Amino acid sequence: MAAPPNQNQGRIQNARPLSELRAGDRAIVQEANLDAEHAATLAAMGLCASCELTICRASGRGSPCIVQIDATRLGLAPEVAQQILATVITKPCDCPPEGSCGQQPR
Amino acid sequence: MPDEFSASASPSIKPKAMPRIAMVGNPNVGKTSLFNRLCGLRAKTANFPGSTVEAHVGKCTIPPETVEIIDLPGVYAMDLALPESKLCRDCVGGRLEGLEPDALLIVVDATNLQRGLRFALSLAASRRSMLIALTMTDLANARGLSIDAEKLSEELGIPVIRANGRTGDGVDALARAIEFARPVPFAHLEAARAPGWIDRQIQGSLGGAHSVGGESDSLSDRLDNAFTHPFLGSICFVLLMVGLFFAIFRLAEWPMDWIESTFGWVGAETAAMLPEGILNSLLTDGIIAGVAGTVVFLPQIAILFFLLALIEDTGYLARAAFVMDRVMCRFGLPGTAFIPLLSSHACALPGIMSTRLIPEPKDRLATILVAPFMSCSARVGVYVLLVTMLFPDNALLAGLAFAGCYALGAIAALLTALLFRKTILRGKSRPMVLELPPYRLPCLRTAFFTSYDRSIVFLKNAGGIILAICIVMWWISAYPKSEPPASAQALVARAEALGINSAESEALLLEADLLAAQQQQQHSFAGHIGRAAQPVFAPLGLDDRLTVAVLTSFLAREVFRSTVTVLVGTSDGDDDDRVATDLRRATRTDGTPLFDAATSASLLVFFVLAMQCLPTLAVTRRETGSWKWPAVQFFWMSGVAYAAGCVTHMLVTSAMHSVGGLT
Repeated sequence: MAAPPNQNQGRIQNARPLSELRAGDRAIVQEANLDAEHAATLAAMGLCASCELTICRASGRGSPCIVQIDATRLGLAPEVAQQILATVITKPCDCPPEGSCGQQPR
Repeated sequence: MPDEFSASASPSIKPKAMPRIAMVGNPNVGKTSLFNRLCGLRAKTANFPGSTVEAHVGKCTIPPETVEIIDLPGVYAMDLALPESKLCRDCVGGRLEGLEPDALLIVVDATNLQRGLRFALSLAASRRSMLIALTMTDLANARGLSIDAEKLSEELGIPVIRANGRTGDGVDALARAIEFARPVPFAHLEAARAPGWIDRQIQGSLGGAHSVGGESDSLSDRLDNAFTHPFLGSICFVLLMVGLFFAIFRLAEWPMDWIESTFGWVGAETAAMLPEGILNSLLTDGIIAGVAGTVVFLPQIAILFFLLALIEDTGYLARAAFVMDRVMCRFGLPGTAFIPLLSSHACALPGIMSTRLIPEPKDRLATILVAPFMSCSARVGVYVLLVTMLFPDNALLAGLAFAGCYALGAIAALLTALLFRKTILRGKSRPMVLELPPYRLPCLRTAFFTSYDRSIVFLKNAGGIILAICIVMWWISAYPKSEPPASAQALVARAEALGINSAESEALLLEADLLAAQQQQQHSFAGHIGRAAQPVFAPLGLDDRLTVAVLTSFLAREVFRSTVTVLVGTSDGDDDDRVATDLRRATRTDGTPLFDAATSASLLVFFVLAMQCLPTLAVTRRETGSWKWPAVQFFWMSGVAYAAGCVTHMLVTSAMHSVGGLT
């Protein structure tokens, strides 16, 4: 599972593992260093290159990373989250909930 | 008329004896609820040749005809290298003999059209007649989505019907639309394959991709944070499992007692009605007693699956799997293995049957193989007897020994799983990836059908292979017939002299029966086998009587207690204290106690670890589709039990020598 090389060269350089992203981050998946069978299953579940996802729960020590892709909510073991690289497109803001920045409060 | 297909005036499925429809769809889209609505109790679980994956086959009457519906397992894609995907490919491709579908009913989650339509289009290439059922419409409505099913139907050229299996809304319309199923027309298929088509449909039908549950749900987030939290999640899980475990034991108690007493009554009535002889003995001691010993577990199975289905339906189980995954993965097992292993404490049969929760075949097999190590309720009677023999006057030590039995079983299960995953089931356990279904109220109807289905599967098993095995075991215990010993005949003569109604004569007749049973046991094929096998069991401290008792307990471990009371000569098998006192007094031919500390301890360890349950082996065979795995289970567990029993006997004997004797 990998995005076309030329198109996303720059993005991949900025890509970080899902396990390092914070709750509320929106990100675009760039590539996954998983075996073909595992990657195919994830793609069928909706997690594939170029898909946009939201981190619902950040990966902790031994606890899963929960992501939402459209209406699909997936739980990923930390080992899997570590192997999926994504570029953050929106970070949660640090405003209080009543803040007016328009972004999702943290 | 959004839920009636009117694109064509004439039905497309050609009339035949019974049209066959295959239901396909992603997991967690409400396919099973819909199937249960369509077929009700007219469904059965089916195992197809060459596959251990199950599907359900049912009949649905749509006047004036009846349609056969195959509910295939949920898959994310047809081309994955998973047994479920292979079964779906074979069925849709017409490669399952006699089960070629006339049409496909594709079940699509209305809140996840992107994935559902992609899946439906992958099936359109098969050129089979098809129609789409849009489920989860209640959730979609709650999210403010108005789905234009008619527009989608026009775009695809096939019926698209909204149907909710939980409430029954739209199910009749779906049933009526089945005859209008047709292949997606070429022009529509070509158009649908164009890039961005699915997005455009979602845009047109629903008003934008991000309206389809794209925003994160704060309540779900909070619940997910709690349920998958290493500490909080573990507490929630433990509390829920304690409740589940307690409910299984508590709620099953009454129906289990009822089944036992009913079979007891049927056995007694049959014995009284038929003349004494082979048919009487076969029916009462072989068939009725054997089937009763298995059917008694039915309430536990029904309750377990009912409660598990409820929990699964809430969406919680997928979260709990992540909590347990941290512990279980150290032993090569997935988090989902925890529930089958815990259930096995009640009975290994439902435990093994519930391994269907585990998606990876090797993980599932490893769990099946180690589940019988967990101390089931049938072992409790044996534990009580042997712990009482070991520590008659020390309740604290007896309690610790009892708890130790449970711990020993669990440790043996985890270590065996680790060993198997590194040898015969080699392969790294794949890190867990699970879809987390939305939280929702459980559906009692779905839980009932799941429980009913599992119970029927279990009863069929009890009526087939288990019954056959019971008959064989009865035969080797009942034949060849031997005459009552002279001492028994003398007791009968004395009883007759006293008169039939006196209490003393009844006691004498009871003693005579006991002596006759002892004689029969000793001279039956089982008795001969026991004496021949005694040298093998000598390292555990067993004499020939205990060897026979252990060998017959391979039928079912609870048989040990009744066999040993017959062989040793205890008269009242239901009185725990009396049995324990009599057994403590029993001696070997050299005058030493039969149940010395070393023998009691080695037997206890042996019973914790040994595979002594024929129904469990039969269920393992059914779930794995081969006799190889029950054989591995039997020889491994019995081998471990034997080795551990020998070591225990040796250690306790040497400890007794150094301390000066415990008994």
